[in-house]
Order: sequence, then structure tokens, then C-alpha cells
Amino acid sequence: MNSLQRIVEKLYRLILRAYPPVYLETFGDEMQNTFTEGLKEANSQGKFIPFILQELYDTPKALVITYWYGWRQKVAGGIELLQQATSSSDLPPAPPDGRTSWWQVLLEISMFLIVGLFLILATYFPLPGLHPGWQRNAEFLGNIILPLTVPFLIFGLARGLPRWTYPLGGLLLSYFGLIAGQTSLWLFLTIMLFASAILIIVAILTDPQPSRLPIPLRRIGQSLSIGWTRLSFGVFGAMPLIILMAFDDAHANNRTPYFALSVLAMIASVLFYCRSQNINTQISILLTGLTFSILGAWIDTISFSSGLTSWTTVTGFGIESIIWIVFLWIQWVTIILSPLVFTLFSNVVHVKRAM
Amino acid sequence: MNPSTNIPLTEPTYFILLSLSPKPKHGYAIMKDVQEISENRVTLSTGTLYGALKRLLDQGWIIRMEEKSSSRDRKVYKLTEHGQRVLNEEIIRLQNLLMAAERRVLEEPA
Repeated sequence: MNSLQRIVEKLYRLILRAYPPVYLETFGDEMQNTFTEGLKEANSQGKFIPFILQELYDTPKALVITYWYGWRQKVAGGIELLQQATSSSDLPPAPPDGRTSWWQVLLEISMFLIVGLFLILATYFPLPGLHPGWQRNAEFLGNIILPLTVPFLIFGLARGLPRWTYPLGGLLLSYFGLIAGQTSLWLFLTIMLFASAILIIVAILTDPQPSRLPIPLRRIGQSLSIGWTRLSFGVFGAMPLIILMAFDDAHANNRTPYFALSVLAMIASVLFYCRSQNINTQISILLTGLTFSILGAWIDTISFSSGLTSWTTVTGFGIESIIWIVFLWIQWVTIILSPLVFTLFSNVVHVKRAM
Repeated sequence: MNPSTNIPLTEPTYFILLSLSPKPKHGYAIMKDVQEISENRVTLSTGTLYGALKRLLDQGWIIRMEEKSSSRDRKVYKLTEHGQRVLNEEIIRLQNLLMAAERRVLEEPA
């Protein structure tokens, strides 16, 4: 039995190698000794096999828990470091937002007001120089979106990324997404954006002295740390383009009131969002605004032949158009909700109980 | 930190803390003691035991130190003051549960 015991001990030493190296360095020898003592006693009591079976049964579970716990600790440490890096007291106070000042509300809503007004005018009162199909003309849209967003975004970055800059960023990024989609460069752009985000996070997490991080980066973190819904608000900045996408027949069917109603729903929801204090309410308002705006496009594609209970799709659009609108809605609801994942994530990694 | 925020404890954690309450112990002694005080209901494997000890160490409920009386380079685990407070809170909670059950059983007509 002694030789069998030695073989089992050696096998256990091999199994121990599956544990994380840092863990093994601390507890490896102890675990081996404890196992050997247990094995000896079990052997002397004739419980050799039950002891081995118990260890074999529990080891995979213990391994999974050890790796999961280590991973949670790393993430929690990273989040703590991020918070330290971004909320240092030496930074100037974060710029105010629309929750406390109507002046800020005006700033936050201004982009939506300007773009909304333009969309309504261009749709219902064709402006001189506007060519039919401008809604799909990336160059024309760029001529409006770039001057409207880029200078103010740079100014906003210099001022510590106040909340009014977020929708400008959202509109600009969605415009780049649109042209990248048209030129098949979307994959490249997505990868670049993703890689940049990862690099920024890695840079923050690996910097041994967070205070050495560049001030603009720390101020971005400071602004973000006020509330994750700011990112959702930023995504909502893409709404003017979403409305144009949803009303893909706007150039041909531009006399229904639904387009204007969708634009007004967008502006109203931004106004309510800006004054709202509660995260749940803020997210609900953004989702409601998105839903109403897209609903306008959906109603635009159907015809009520005899009251609300009997509707058909307008000739030439068909069910595909409705599926496309539903898909668009699901897509953007997911994107608007995605920043909340960060909040859930940080809640999950908080270890409240020992086991 | 308020100890009551950490309870209820899981059964293995409770028995490990209880085992370390009278005096410090090394890993194998904890394993045997837990089995004994739980009347063979809780049997910890080596992996489970050390996983739990690691988490208790991280939470500051126990500390790890050299065994004074041993000629071997052996580590023992000792309950900290905070760990003792958590254990006491859990014992009070369990006593309250038991008393509530006893009251209800006594009130019930036979």
C-alpha cells in the first residue's frame, strides 16, 4: 500500500499544478502536506478509497472557485485603481450638468434642437440647394455633422468632458459608423475603437502611480464616474441618424406627420433626461424616446384601412420594412443599455461573503 | 467594518471559524476538527479547505503564522478579533433562529 500511497501523492502534486501559480506558491506545500497526512490517516483507518474519491470529486470544483475568486479579485482591484485614478481630489470639480442648471440643459439639448429643426425643415419645406435623397448622402451629412460636432467636442474635452459633449460624440461616432458601413470599413473601425478602449484601460490599470496619468484622461474618468447613463446619453446622440435610417423612405414619403413627431419625441426625451436625477428614470426616458421615435417610423410604413384594428403595410414597403424597424429598435436598445453592464459588472465583483 | 454585514455564513466557513475559535490550528487539524464538530456532516477536501482559508485570510478574519511548537516549517491559522466578532454574530443569529423555532413549537397545540 505504501507504494500506492506514494503514487497517489505524486499524482496529487501533479494536480496541484493546475492551481494558479501565485496561489500554489503560498499554499502548494501546505496542501501537499495536508493531503499526505489525510491520506495516511485514511489508509490506517481503511478509508483510503473514500478519501481519494472525495478529493477527486472536490478538486475540479475547488479549482473553478479558486480561478473565479482570483479573477474577481483582479477585476475588483482594477476597478478600485480606476476609481483612484479618476476621482483624485487634486482635479478641479467636474463641470455641472442639467440636473442643477437650466443653462446646462440648454447646452445639452442644443445639438438635438439644431439637428431636429434642420431635419423638420429639410423634410417638410425643401431647402434651396437640397438634392433629393440627401438623407443617404454621406458627404452631405458629413458637411453638417463634422462642423457641428468636432470643434465643440475638442472644446468639451478641454473643459473636462461636460455632459453636453456626450451626444456630440455619439453623433460623430455614429456618422463614422454610417460611412464605414457604406465603405465596408466598419470592421476595421470597430476593431480600432475596441483596441483603443482596451489600451486606455490597460494603461490606467498598469500605471503604478495613477496621479501620473494625463489630466485629460483623468478628467474623462472623473466625468464618467458621475454616472454611467452619460454613456447612454452619448449613444442617444446618434438619434438623428437613427431617425433618418428608420424613415428610409423619407425622401419619397415626406409629408406624413410621423417624421416630425419622431423628432419631437427625441427632443422631449432629451429634455426630460437632462432634468432627471435618478439613473433608472434616465435610462427609461432614453429608451422611451428611442421607442417613440422608431414607432413613428413604423406607423409611417403602415396604412390604416379601416381604423386602428385593421392595418396593412403601405404599398411598396411590406413586412420586411417592419422587421427592419424592429431590428433597428432592438439594436439600439441594446447599445443604449450596454453601459449599464459596467454597473452590474462592478456589483458582481464585490466580494461580500467569504464563500 | 460591521460584522453583521457578513452574515449569514456558509456552513464550511462557520465550522472553520468555530474550529479556530479556541486556538490556532494547521490545515489538517482544521479539516479533522470540522469533521468532528459537524458530526461528520461537513467533510472538507484539501482544495476546498485552502480555498476557504485563502478567502478568510483576504477578508482579515484569520491570520497565518508559523507554528511555534513545531520543528517542521508548518503554518497555523488564527482567528482575528474581527473574525471572532463575525463568528459571535453568527452564533447569536443561529440562537435567535433556534429560539424562534422553539417558541413556535411550544405554542403549537399538541
